[in-house]
Amino acid sequence: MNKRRVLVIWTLILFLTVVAMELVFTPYDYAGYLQANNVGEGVAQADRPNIQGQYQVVYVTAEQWQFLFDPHVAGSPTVTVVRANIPVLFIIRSVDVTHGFYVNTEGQFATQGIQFGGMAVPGYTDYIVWNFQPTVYTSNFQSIYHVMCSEYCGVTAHGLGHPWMDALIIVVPNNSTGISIQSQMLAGNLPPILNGTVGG
Amino acid sequence: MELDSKQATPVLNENAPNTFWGILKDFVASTDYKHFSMKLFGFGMFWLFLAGAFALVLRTQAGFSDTGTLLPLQDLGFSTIGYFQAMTYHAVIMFFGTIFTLGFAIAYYTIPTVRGTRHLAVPRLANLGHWLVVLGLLMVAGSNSQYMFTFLIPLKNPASFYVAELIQFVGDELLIIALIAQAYYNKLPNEKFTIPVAFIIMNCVAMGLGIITVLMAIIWTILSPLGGLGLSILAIPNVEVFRAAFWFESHPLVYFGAFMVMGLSIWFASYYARRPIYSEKMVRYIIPVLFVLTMSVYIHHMAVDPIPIWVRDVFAQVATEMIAVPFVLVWTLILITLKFSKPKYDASLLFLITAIAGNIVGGATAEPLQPVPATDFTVHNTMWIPGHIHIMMATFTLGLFFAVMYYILPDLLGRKIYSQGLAIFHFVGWTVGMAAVEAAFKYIGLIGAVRREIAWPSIYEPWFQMAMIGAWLAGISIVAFAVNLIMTWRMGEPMPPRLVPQWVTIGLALETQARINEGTYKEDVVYTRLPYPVGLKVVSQPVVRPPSELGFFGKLKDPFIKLFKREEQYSVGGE
Repeated sequence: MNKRRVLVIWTLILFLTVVAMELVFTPYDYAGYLQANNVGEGVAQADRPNIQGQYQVVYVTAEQWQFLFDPHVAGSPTVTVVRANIPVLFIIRSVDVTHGFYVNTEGQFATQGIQFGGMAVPGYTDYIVWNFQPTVYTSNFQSIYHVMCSEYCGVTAHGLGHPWMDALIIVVPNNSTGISIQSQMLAGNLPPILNGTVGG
Repeated sequence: MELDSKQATPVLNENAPNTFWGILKDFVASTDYKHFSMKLFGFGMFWLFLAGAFALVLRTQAGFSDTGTLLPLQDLGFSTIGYFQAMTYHAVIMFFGTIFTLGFAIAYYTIPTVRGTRHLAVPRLANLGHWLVVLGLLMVAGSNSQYMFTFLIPLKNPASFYVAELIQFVGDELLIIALIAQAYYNKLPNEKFTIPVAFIIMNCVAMGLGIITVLMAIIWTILSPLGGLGLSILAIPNVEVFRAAFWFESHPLVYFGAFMVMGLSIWFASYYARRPIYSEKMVRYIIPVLFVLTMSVYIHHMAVDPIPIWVRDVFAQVATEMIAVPFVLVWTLILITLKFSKPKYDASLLFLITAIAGNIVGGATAEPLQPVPATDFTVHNTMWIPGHIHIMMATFTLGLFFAVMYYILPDLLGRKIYSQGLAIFHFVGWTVGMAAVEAAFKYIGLIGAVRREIAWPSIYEPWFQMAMIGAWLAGISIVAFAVNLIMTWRMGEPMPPRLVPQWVTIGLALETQARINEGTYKEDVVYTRLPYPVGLKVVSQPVVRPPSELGFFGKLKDPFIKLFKREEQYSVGGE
């Protein structure tokens, strides 16, 4: 085999590998919510993701240095409660600088297998979708997910700020007991449960 | 070409000033290209030590971070702010001090040496650029900035940081312009660039274009209310526009060091293999492809910006994946060239091969960082990213630099490297140490450790301690490297005072031989003013391994040898 043929074939193999990877990943290109993977991500798009079936909506406002949920636990604006096994649409914005809304896996908290998160960019609205499916609950039917800021957003003169910017998401079972706990914690202000495809 | 070795004197002392004021003037405004290159090497090492010291502060802090207190920084009087300042200084100085300055040092020596022009084209511009970079970086280190991440506006930096960055980038732009002038200085009508020079020029054009946009962004910021100077002439820059301007510069930036020495790496691979590069023609095609792709992939940094999806698809995803193709092709050409050649594995070649491995591993592990939601969730904004950048910058880029520096510095000092043992220790310490840092970063990123933090949950602690030990090992290896250079300078055995370094002559000859083999050689085109043998087959004997040398495994490999037709090795190089 001559040199030219070796190089052409090798270049083609590399090129086609890249194309194949791109084709494999194409369905994930900012496609919004994927039921197969239970994930979704919005990138400051004008449209919300197309979600088939039921989903919950939680608004997240990031500011230096806290996440404010709507709805949230009465008296605790940085804690929200959602139901398990129904995708949650987080609609995220920032009122000051860029933040990262990052739902983390930690030893002492519930784990969702991998981390997920979105950015909160001033002037834009981002969304992410996640279907919490905890397998372990505490005795009071709660599974806790830790949220932290994943983009450097400054610190105060005394050092507080970004490293201590966190929040909690409490997941309750999607049954009458869970809904009762959720309603009690949120003082009746439950996240809206919507159906079907959401557009524009 | 070799002079009488009894008269051996270090080449550096040739025409060197010998009075205090003469030396000072030469230091401030070097007119000799070797002196200028030596000055840049000296400053590059200084920045390496300074930025490395900040790195050790960070790693040591993280190694003890599970206590939730600021140990050991707190004992040293540092605060959280001090930690983020150290992170800022480490990143900015390592990029623009160490990698840029060492890259320029190599390039400012390479171009006049390879082209045979042996003069600085525009010495005043080059010296001015260098001193502006020094001033800018010293200002950065004194700016109290916690926010090197200037694209994170409207986070506000101290005004001195923006001014420092402005000065430093102007300096870098002047150095780039002077370097391009160096390549065109006294250019003959029928002169073409050799592979190392062509890579450097491509690199300078890419970086020069990029710096223009980041300068515009910085000036905009200074004139805006964010600038801190109270000028408020322009509004606060739009986050997306600023980010685009920033990253248009900052992605060519990460390739800057690598492209500066990629051509030399190809030459050194040929030098070690004692045969021409497998396909010189292919390398020539790869250079413009790399230019186009390096200017395109920056959009993958704009994952949160509202740009059209097709633009993301083309520039962020396709271009980012596609740039792997020319990189892999270059490594393929180098490895085919080295294959079956039985080279001498000294520190330089070990650094070169490890750098190639680093680039492949770093590139492969960059794939999950693409804006691909299914995988992006796992690692984006985690320590996975510092892991990626350290593989690409420390193992790959600085690894290539070290490989080249073990040849260029002896040329400049006029002495052979003092200790090959220390050089091997440098290689092992740097490679193992940085591998420990990178592996630890990658793993804790995978399990959720967020980057740009000061304290983490204790589950990450063993890995941060591993990174701390690795960082100190890498730091010690750099001390060994510096000691080796100082000993070389003061006590190294004088080299025969060649008019032209051996690797240059052989590099030119092998590159020309490659063109002859591939049928692209033209007699009326020149690549240098230097004399070098044209037509190695005429002046040397092919080394052909007799079939009797082939053992069991040799026979297994034989079809591959025949496939690549690499039996012939030229007995050039002498020593």
